Amino acid sequence: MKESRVLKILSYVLIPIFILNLIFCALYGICKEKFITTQISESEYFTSDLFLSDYMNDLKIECNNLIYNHDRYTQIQDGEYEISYKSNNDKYNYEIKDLYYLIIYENFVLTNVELTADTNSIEKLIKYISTQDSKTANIINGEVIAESEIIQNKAIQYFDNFIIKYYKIVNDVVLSEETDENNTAIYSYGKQNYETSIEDFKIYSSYKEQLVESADYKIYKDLIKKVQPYENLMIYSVPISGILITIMFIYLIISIGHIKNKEGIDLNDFDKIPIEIIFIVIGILVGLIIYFTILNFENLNECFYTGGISVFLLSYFVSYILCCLAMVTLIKRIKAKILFKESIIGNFCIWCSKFIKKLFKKIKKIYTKIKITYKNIVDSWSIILKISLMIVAYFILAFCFLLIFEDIGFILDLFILAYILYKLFENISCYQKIENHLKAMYKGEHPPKLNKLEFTKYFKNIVEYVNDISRGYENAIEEGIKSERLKTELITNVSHDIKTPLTSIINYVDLIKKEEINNDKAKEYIEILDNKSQRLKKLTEDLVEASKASSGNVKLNIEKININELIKQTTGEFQDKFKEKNLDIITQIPNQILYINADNRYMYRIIENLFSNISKYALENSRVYIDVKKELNIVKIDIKNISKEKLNISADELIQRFVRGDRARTTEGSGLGISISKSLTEIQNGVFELQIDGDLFKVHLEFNIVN
Amino acid sequence: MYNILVCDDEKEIVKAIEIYLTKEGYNVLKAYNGEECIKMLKKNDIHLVILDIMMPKKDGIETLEEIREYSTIPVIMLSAKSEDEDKINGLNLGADDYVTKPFNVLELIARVNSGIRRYTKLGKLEENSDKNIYRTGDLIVDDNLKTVTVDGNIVKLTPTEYNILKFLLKNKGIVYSIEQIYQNVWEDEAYVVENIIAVHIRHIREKIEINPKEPKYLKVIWGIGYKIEKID
Repeated sequence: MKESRVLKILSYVLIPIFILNLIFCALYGICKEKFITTQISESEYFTSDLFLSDYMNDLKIECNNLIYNHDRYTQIQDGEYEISYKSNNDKYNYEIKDLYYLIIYENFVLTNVELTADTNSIEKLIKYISTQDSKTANIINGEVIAESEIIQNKAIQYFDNFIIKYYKIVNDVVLSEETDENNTAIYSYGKQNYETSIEDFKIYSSYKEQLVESADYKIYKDLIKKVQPYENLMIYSVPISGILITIMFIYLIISIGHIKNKEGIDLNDFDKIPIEIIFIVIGILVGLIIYFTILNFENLNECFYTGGISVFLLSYFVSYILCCLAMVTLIKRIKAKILFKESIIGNFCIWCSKFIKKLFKKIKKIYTKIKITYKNIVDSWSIILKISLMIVAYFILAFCFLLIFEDIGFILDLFILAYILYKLFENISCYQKIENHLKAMYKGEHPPKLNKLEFTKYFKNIVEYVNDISRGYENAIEEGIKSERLKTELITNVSHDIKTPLTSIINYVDLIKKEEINNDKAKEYIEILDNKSQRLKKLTEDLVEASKASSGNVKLNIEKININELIKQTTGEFQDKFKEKNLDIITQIPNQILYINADNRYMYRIIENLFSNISKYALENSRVYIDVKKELNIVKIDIKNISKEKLNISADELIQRFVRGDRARTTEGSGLGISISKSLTEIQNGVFELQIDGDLFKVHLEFNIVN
Repeated sequence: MYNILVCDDEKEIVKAIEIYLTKEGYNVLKAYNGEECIKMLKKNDIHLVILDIMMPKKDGIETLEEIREYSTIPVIMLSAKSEDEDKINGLNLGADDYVTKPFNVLELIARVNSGIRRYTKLGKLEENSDKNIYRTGDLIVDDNLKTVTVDGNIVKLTPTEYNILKFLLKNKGIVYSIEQIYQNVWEDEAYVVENIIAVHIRHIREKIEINPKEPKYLKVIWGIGYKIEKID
């Protein structure tokens, strides 16, 4: 039901028709009301004051036109002038036709009789006007000569209306000082001030004592006559139309935006245009249409006889479609809950709310800041109180001294001030000392204990706290060192205890090996025992070394060592082992002799471990690169080789103790070699880095060069 | 027949050593603590003592000190303590050798042989006046015969190895770098030396040393050079 397209189109089409019906009914109602007017008798009207005033007024207006050289002067058609009769509902229902006049003012003539007719002279015109089957009313040089006695009698009352008019010329334009809607600004003869009176006019006029229905009135009457038989139908159609419009309108409101096979509200690009823009544009368009079409019909006459109905209907439907567009998008937006979002005001509001939120946050921040500051002030209340009291006391004292001792008082004041400043600087220096102490601690140094006596009494407590903290801190470090040493000792002792039984194992395995055994399996087992006991031996030895090296628990015998010599010696040492695996060693050593400060035995251990790894884990028949480089004040040693096994392990992991390239730990070795090398390098202030790039295994060593 | 006293609180170790040494033709006497060791020494004619350090009642160090009070008998310390300080301490107190547990049997036997030989034979050779004979400890290079003997055993060296060893032994106690060795032995400027010298020295060590990793005579000072230790 919601999604039925037919129903929707039907509603869209029917609504304007029903509304039109309502409009029509309303118009009919208005017309009918106009029709109900009081009938009047002609003889009574022509003898009434009402007619007389209208008549005289019209003449007066024409006189004005003449003086002001009004457009009308040249546009008058034969007999075209009328006095309308107003009904009691303020509408002109009747008119007096065939009203003629001839007004002569100085040498100018104004008449509604065509001068082209056979009335070329004024005499003839006067005659033409009076010979019509009508009554005459002439005003000549202030005298009224009328057939109607009433006019004759009453005309004098209106003379005043013909007298005195002022004009002013500004920039060749004559402006009236009196405001009369018919003659506000009319070109004049160039006279600056002008005055005239009834005596200056010669007015000849005539009228027929007969009332004629006005054109509008006729239309109403016709319309009502035609529609009256269906009046009952119309009366019923009004509520029905109203109800139907309401129902369809409500249906549309409910169904708008819902489309078959689509969930939610169907929105298009039009619905994304800010609603204000749509409303303003449509409002202007509709306003223009109404202004230029519907409102332009001055009366119903025009509306009915100049193709007005088609224009009216066209503009009506265009306006309706425009309004529909606005309504549909409005409803859709409300339903989709984007009315606010897709509008300028909405966006503005959102922006405002964000801004306000931000502002609020900022205010809150400032507030908390103030709060904290306030709290700090309260917390340090005693100090602040003391300082304030001191300041107050100082001023009072200074003032008293000045009063009592006059000039000498001023010098005394200065002394007091100097004393206070001295105290202040003393405290600041105390503060500085504590800060320096903490800074040193922060950097990991062990500054000497702060001496309480060096501080002012305000800092005594703080000094105590700081000393306590630094003592605790030092204790913690000492504890750490101690525990590390204990750990190493423990490992060393345990390794001694392991070594003794291990000696027996190794020896007896060796003895068994020397026995004559014919069992092949037994021989194999013995071989395994031999291998594993040897590994255990190596492991215990390395374990002690690793623990010592990593805890820094080694005695260094630092001397000046020649790196070039070391590399030559070590490569020579491993020549045979490398040859066994057919490893090609490519060394690059600079000619310049490079010295470093190190312990020669540990340096050998570092290189030995690395080389021993290479001999164990490097790919056979590959090349091993040993590069020694000097960069600034640093010697860099790079050892590169290709791993036999896939190195699915990270460099960091490999450095850890007990980790080996082959996770299965099938080959000999303790897995401590790299860890020991790294520790020993670092103990000697070197840098040890390990990189794994695919199968490339690279060790990078750095040491400081000494001259 | 030489009598060797083995002293260790681990009976199994003593037993194993006994087996090895008996095979080598030594008569082995056993003790299981320091006190027993002293008693045995007093009772018997002992030619060499293998002494453990960590023992109950009287430990190896105390025992060694006591022995040295009245005897110059060769003492080989045998300990699980492998730290440098332990070794230095032991050697300073008068031990002739220091073997760490777990030991290599061949090494131990070699050291025992060396100790016995020095104590019984070489010790009596005293000074050799021949100018062309160079010696340190039990390493002797006889330039007349072009032979090298260690602990009385002849060692076969290649001519280059021989020349290097002779040069170092001639100047025993002095450290020479690869370059210097090259210049002196080849009597030439060193240019493509690479690590030939280092390889040769490694080979020499393997031939003359009981344990090439812990050389007694041909010492390596890493990053500085090589030297022959001066031993009386």
